Amino acid sequence: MLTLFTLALVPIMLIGVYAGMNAEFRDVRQLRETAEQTVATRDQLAELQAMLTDAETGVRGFVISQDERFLEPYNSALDRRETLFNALQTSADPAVRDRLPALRRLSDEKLANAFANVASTRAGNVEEARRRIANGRGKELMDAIRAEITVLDAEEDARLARLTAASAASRDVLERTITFTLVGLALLLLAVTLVVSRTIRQRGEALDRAKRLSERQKAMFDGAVDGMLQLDGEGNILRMNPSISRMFGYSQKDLIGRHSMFLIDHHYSLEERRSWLASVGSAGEDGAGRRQEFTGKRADGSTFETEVAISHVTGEDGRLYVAAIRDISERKRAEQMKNEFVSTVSHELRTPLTSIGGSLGLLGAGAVGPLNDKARRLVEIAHANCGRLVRLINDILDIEKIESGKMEFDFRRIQVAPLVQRTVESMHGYADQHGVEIQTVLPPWPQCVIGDPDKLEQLLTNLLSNAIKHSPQGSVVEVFSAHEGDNVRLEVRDRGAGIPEDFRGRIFGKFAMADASDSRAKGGTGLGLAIAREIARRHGGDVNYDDREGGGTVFHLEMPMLRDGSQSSDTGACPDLPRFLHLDDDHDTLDVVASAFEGKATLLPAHTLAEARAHLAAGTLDGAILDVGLAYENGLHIIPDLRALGQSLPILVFTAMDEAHEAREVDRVLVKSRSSVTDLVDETMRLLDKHRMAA
Amino acid sequence: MIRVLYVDDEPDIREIAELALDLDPDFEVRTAGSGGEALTIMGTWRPDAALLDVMMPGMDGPSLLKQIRAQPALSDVPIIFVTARAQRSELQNFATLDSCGVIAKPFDPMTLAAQVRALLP
Repeated sequence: MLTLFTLALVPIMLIGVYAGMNAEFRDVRQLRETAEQTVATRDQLAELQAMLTDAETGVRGFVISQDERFLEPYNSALDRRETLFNALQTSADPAVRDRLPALRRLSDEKLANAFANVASTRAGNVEEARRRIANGRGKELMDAIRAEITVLDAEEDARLARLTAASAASRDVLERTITFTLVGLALLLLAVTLVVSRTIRQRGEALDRAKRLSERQKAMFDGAVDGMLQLDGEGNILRMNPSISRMFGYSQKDLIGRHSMFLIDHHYSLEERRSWLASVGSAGEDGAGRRQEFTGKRADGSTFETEVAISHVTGEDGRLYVAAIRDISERKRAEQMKNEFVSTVSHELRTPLTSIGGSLGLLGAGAVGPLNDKARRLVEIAHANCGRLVRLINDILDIEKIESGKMEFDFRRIQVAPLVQRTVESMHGYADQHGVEIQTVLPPWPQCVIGDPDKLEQLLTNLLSNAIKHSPQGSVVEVFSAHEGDNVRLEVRDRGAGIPEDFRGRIFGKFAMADASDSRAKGGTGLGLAIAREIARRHGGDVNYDDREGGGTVFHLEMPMLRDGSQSSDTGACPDLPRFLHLDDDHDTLDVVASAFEGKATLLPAHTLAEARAHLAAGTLDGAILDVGLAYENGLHIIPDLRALGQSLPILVFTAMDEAHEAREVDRVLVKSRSSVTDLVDETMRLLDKHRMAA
Repeated sequence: MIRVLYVDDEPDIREIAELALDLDPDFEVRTAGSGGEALTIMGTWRPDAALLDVMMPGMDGPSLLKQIRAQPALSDVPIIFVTARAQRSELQNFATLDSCGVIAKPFDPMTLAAQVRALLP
């Protein structure tokens, strides 16, 4: 910017200098012309004076000698006079021109006087001529002429002097201006040079940096342990690093230009190839790649598990993708080993605990004969601790599953109240041991949630057992359920000592217990709340606590409440199982599929579109399984009716192969000859979970 | 009398299970330490319920179930699995194996008989 401004100054200054010089040249030219004029004028005046003097002298000679030759200067003066005055008239400056008529008059009179003398002499009247000469008029005229010429000379002189002085002054100004301008230009040039050199240096540094960066990137790309591919917008391989060769056993020339699908052990259709990158690489406009697992295929045909992260960059050549491929077969093996280890350990620990706990339970209950009080007390202690060890193992396994993301959830539509009642019933024995009563306050209307009943029961058990074991004997633990906005809110209220201040920050942490002695007394594992919170979060909710007014603590679970038609039904019950419409004209298929779904979903069988519509009108639906070719109808024609329900329902097509191509806008097409009924069940339940989680 | 066969490779657990099941006066209990022994017993003594431990050396619970089902005389004997691997995916898996239920180890000996009764059809 500064450079541009500076550079713009240069032509302006040059124009200034040019204008100044031009003016000065004009002045000088004018001065020279004036000087020449002055010299010419003064020459002419001198000539005039000399001519008149010579003519006077000649005429006097003629008067004395009557010799005609003396008249030569006079004659030439007559001839020359006009020319001379004309010259003066044109060349002289205005001041001189103003005075010329006077000079001319004097000159004319002088010449007329001379003429009179010449005429008198020629007429033989020499005496008259002499007298005229002697009367001094001629001398007077001559003196006047001389005086006039002197004045004019002085005038010319002064004019010349004035011009010379003015010219000198303006030259001084110009000289200064030019000097300043040149100094300015020099400074400007210096500045521009500095700026330009700095810019060049900076550009050089930037180029160096870019080069270093690109070298670093190249080094990262080439040196990465992960296989790296650079793909064009279509997914064709543009570049690859040596790890790819190591991983897949192909050389550069085998792969460059091929489609990246070539490395994946799955046959993709052309359509799928096109959409593949778009879906995989669309992880986010921030460019961060989403991780996906694929089975890679090596040059020798063997396969291995990979994790692929694809990110995209938009460069000059359009959209490019960079795929980082990691060989995770080791990790998979390790996971497998860990799972087996965990499973084995849990089995190996539970087997002896079964014996110990079983023996102690039978002994303590007097099943094999009565014990004395002390012995029974000891057996009870041993039995209780055995139970604690089992809980600890279960909790550790749960935590391990949660942390590895392996905890499986079986989400379904459930009602809160029966779940709470079931849990409370199972806790009565424990409450009795502690001399604590459990009271439930549940709303008379149904509250439905999407949840895993076993996991929610586990969560509630953890909250309840905490409340019970921290309650003073004879107190009441309340279980209270209500709405909180769009959530169901379950509260477990106790009258315990409250949560110690220094424990509040880590109460939901692993092995979190207020203090060790407390845990021994209460028999907890320190994992219950961590597990409870994780279960709640997997249900889209959370567990937290507040101090209870009047002493004690309130632990509360909030999770999203399901709001749909089920609330208005007369029975007020949430259907425990999801309901799927199954449209197929074949009785056997309807029966087989219905029995495959037993325990997982209720199927509403329909042979015709009319029957199907009757089901839609009668009650809520969670999804639909459709056959295409019915006896006289097309099963897909029910889709608009399903969409009109306004819910996001999973729709699967389960049909013979040749009809499959017609199925559009459905979640999944399973072909009867290729997919088993078990596949259909798994896929349907998976899609249902997906839709519910999305909702 | 309800004939119950308990199959487990762990003698201690066999003994406890027998004691626990014997608490039900209607139960007549026998035990076997392996799949082979169980099949031998069942050849002459058809039980009304068979409790099979899942993890046993040699023939495990699911394999034993197949062997039992393979014999026409035993094809409809109600089978209950007993397992220390109380992971959901495995439990679901057993449920599909033509059994009528699963009891998790460690079981409560005082209620074991009641659990078995509850699972029987």
